[in-house]
Amino acid sequence: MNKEQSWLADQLPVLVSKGIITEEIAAKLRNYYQLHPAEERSGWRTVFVMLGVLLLALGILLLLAHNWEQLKRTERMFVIGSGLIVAQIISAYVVGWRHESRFWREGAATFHFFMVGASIFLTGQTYHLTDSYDNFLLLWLMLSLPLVYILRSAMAAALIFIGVGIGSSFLSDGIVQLLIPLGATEFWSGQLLWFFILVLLPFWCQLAEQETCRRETHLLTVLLLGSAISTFAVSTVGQYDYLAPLRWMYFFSIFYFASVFLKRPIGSNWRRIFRVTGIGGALGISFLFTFRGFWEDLLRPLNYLFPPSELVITVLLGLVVLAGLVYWIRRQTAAQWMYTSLPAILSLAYAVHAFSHNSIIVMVGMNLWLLFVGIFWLQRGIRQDSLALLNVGLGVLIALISARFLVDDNLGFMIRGLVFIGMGAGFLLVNWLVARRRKGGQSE
Amino acid sequence: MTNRKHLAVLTVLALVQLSVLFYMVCHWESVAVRGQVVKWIIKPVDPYDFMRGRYIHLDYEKPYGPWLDSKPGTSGDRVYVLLDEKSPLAQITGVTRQKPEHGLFVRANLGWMDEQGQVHVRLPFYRYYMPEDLAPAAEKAYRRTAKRQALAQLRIRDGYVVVEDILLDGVPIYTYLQNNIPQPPTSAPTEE
Repeated sequence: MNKEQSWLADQLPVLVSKGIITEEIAAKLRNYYQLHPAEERSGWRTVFVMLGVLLLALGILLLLAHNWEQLKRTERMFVIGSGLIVAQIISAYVVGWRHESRFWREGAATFHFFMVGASIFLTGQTYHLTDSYDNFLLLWLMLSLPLVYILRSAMAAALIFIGVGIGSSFLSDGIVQLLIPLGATEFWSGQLLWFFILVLLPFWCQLAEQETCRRETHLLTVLLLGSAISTFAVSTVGQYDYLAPLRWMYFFSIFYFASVFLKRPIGSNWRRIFRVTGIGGALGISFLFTFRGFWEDLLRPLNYLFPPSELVITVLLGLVVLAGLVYWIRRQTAAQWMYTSLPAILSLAYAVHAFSHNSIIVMVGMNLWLLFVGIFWLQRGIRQDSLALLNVGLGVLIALISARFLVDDNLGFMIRGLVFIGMGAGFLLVNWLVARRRKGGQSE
Repeated sequence: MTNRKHLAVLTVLALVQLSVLFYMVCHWESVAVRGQVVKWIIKPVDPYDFMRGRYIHLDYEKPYGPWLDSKPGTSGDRVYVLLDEKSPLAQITGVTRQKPEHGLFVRANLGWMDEQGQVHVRLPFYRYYMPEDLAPAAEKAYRRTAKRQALAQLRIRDGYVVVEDILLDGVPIYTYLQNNIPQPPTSAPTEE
C-alpha cells in the first residue's frame, strides 16, 4: 500500500465519525482503492512483536532453568512465582486498558503462556521430579487454555495446538494416569484428548469468519488439522487392528465433507486446506491398498482382531461419512462425487475382503478404481483447463505406475501384465477422448 | 464479553494458576522436609550415560521384588513398592497394586516379570538436576568413584519421593565437587 492509500485508509474512519461520509461510502472507497483494514496492514508488525515476546519469554525460561544452586528452594519458588504474577499483571493491564490492540493482546498471551509453563516445569526441576512430565504438560495447557478467549489471542491458540500436536502421546498418558484409578478404560480416557481441540474450535471459527486475518487463519487451520491428526492417531491406535486403515479413510473424508457442506465459518481460506488434507489423506490410504501386502497383513490373526471400542469409533465415523455421501449424491454433480467415492470403494473392498479373505481380488479392484479416478481427473483437467485437476490425475497415475513397476516384485507376470494392459488402455482412451474433442471443436 | 467480565475471568484464572503452583510447592516441600530419609544405592551405569544434559540419571540398584497380589499386573500399571524400614539401605520387600496403609513405600510403574518371578518396576525419580557448568565436573567425579559406592539420598512421604542429594563416597555431591574440582594454576591471573 502506498503513502496515499495509507493516508486515505486512516482518514476514512475519521470522516465517517464526523458524519461527512456514510459507512457504506467508506466501504465502497476501501473496495475501490483496495485499502486493507489496519489490522491486516499491521500483520507483519504483529508477527515481529510476537517473535520478540517469544524470544524474551524463552530467554527468561533459560535463565531460570540455569538451576541457580546458590538459591534456596523457597527463594527459587519465589522467583518462579514472581514471574507468573508479572505475566498475570501484564495480562490484566491489557484486558483492562489495551484490549483493542492486537500487539498487546498477542504479546501478553504469549508471555503469560510461557510463564505458566516455566512455573510448572521449574517446580519439577527444583524438586527433581521426573515422571510427572505427562501431567505437567496437561496442567500447562489446561491452565493456559482460557487465555485464548480472555485475550482473544491467535498465538496462544497456535501454541496450544502445537502442544497438543507434538505432545499428544504425553497428554494422553497424563489423562489416562488421572482417570484409570477412577475406573475409566484406557481407550475412552484417551478420547478426552479431543477436549482441547473442541474448546478451541469456536475461536478458530470466529477467526475463519473474518477474511481480514488471513495469515492467522491459514496458520491456525494447518495447526488445527495437524493436532487433530495427531490426536486421532494417539487416541485410537491401541494396536494396528483390522479396521485401523478404514478409520483413517473415514477420518480424512470427514475433512473433505466439512470443507464442502459446512456453511459456517463463511471464510474461504480454511476450506482449501481442509479439502487438500482430506483428498490427500484419502488418496494416500487408497494408494496403500493397491499393494497386495497391505491386504495380506490385515489377515494376520493379531491384526484381524479388534477391540469393541475401536469398532464403535469406526462405525460412528462410517455413519458420518455415509450421511455425507447420501447428501452428496443428492446435491452435487457427478464430477465432484469422484472425490468422495474413495471411502465408499474402500468400504466395499473391506466387505469383500472380510467375507472372501481374497487379497488379490480387492487389490486388483483398488488398482482399477484408482486408475479410473486418475484418468477421470486427468480428463476433467484437460477439458476444464484446470491445472490442479490435471496434476492430481497425473500424480495418481504416476504413483500407480511407479508402484506396480518399481515396488511390486511379488506379483506374478500375469497380474502385472493385466494391470499394465489396463493402464495402457486407459491412457489410450484418454488420448482418444481428448483428440476427438479437439477435432469436434475444430470442425465447429 | 465486556472488559470487566474479561477481567473477572482473568482474575479467577490467575487465582487458579497461583493455587496450582502453591499446591505443588506445598506438596513437594512437605515431602522434602517431612519425608523419611532413605538411601538407595545407585548402580554403576555407563559413565558416558551418567550425565544427560543438566541432570544426573539415577539408575537404582535392584529395582525389583516379589509380586504380592493374586492377580497378575500389566506393564505400566501404577504399583506401590514396599521398602524394608529396618535396612540401612533401601531394599524392596514386595510390589503390590494396593496402596499400603502404613509403612515405607514408593509409587512406581510396573515394568516386567523376570524368569525368577521377580517384578521389575520403573521408579519415577531418576533425575537429579544440576547447574550446567557443574555437569562435566560431576561426570568426572562419578567416573572416579564408579567402582566405589554412590548413593541417592531420598525423602519419602506417602509414597512420593524427592531426591534430596547424591552421595559420592558418603560425601554430598556439591561438597565432593568443591573439594575435587581442579584449581586453576597459581600463576594464572585471577579476578578479585
